[in-house]
Amino acid sequence: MDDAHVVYDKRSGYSQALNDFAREIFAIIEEKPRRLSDVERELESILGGPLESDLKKMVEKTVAEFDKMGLIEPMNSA
Amino acid sequence: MPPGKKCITDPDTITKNLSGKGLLLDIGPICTKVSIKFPSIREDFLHIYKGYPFLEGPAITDYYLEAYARNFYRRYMRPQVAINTYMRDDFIPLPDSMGLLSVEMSLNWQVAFGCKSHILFHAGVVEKNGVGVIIPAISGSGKSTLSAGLAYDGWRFFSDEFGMLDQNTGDLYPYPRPISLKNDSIAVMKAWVGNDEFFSREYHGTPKGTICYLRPPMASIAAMTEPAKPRVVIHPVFKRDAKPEIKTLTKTMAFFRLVRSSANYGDIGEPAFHALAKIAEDCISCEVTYSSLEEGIALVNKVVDEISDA
Repeated sequence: MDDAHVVYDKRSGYSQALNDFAREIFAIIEEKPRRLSDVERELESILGGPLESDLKKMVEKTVAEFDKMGLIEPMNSA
Repeated sequence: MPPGKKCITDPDTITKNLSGKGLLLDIGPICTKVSIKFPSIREDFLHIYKGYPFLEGPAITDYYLEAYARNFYRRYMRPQVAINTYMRDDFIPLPDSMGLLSVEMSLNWQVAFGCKSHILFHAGVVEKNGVGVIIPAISGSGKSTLSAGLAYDGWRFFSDEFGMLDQNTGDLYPYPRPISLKNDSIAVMKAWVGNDEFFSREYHGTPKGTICYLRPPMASIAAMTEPAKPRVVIHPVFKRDAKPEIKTLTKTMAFFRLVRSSANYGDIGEPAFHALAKIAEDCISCEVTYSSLEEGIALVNKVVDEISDA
């Protein structure tokens, strides 16, 4: 939509709004299961350089929000 | 008359069916079999449903509603009307003087609780020149008065309570039941319409104050099977002495406000998400602040005229 991305969670039936940054992080996880470090590495690859600490914190906070919203779940460590 | 359906027009047959086995009230996509055992309530009911199609049976019926007395004493001594919807309802009986309220509120409850064929909005809906306008709002916010005012100002009336959206076609379907007016809005609408014959008597002392029902224009009742595409969503804000204002909403805000106003979004699930997202994308959504009915109607016309000119 014009100012945010709206996603529908088929499992819960809830609809959520994501800003551009959250949508980008979600797309990375949506592609395949990732560890937090993998998400950061993928983002560095997209941005073409290392992430600053503020941005790393934003990534962590965003992923934590996804967990709270039920949009992601832990994967096995195998 | 609904196309392909035969209706009863003889008043004696209508009264006989309503007092006995049930009268088939066919409004838009919903057919309800109504039976009322109290003569006074039947009279009130037939007054506000004058001109509506009552079907000859048999017909596929969506809901059943019976207004009756629980026992002999309650029929004649301090009479109380009980309601049976055959849907595990738990309504408290009301004095027979409020019988029409019982019937109307039960009909609303049946749709709100039971309708899964259409996406429901707690909203008024009107249409003019192919432009469907959804007016979502909570109870007491003025949507019924605004919907009624528009209906008696040349707009086709769909509903003041339930917006019904076909999840497959995205069309709005009319469900033009009598309009429920409360307190100050009763006098406002009586002055606006200019003919008391279209109104029920006033019911005082209800939990929401005084309630009165207004029959929609006959042209709206006659066109009740014709859908329309939604083009505008208007969230009304009635505030005395407020400066008239139109505030356009972002598409995301428009989407979530539609979700909030939907009675069965969660029940319908993903198809409802896509349908509401399409409305948010394709329609103009705005919040309209006004301090009088005339002002509200003028602002609605302004919003619609602007998209027509575009």
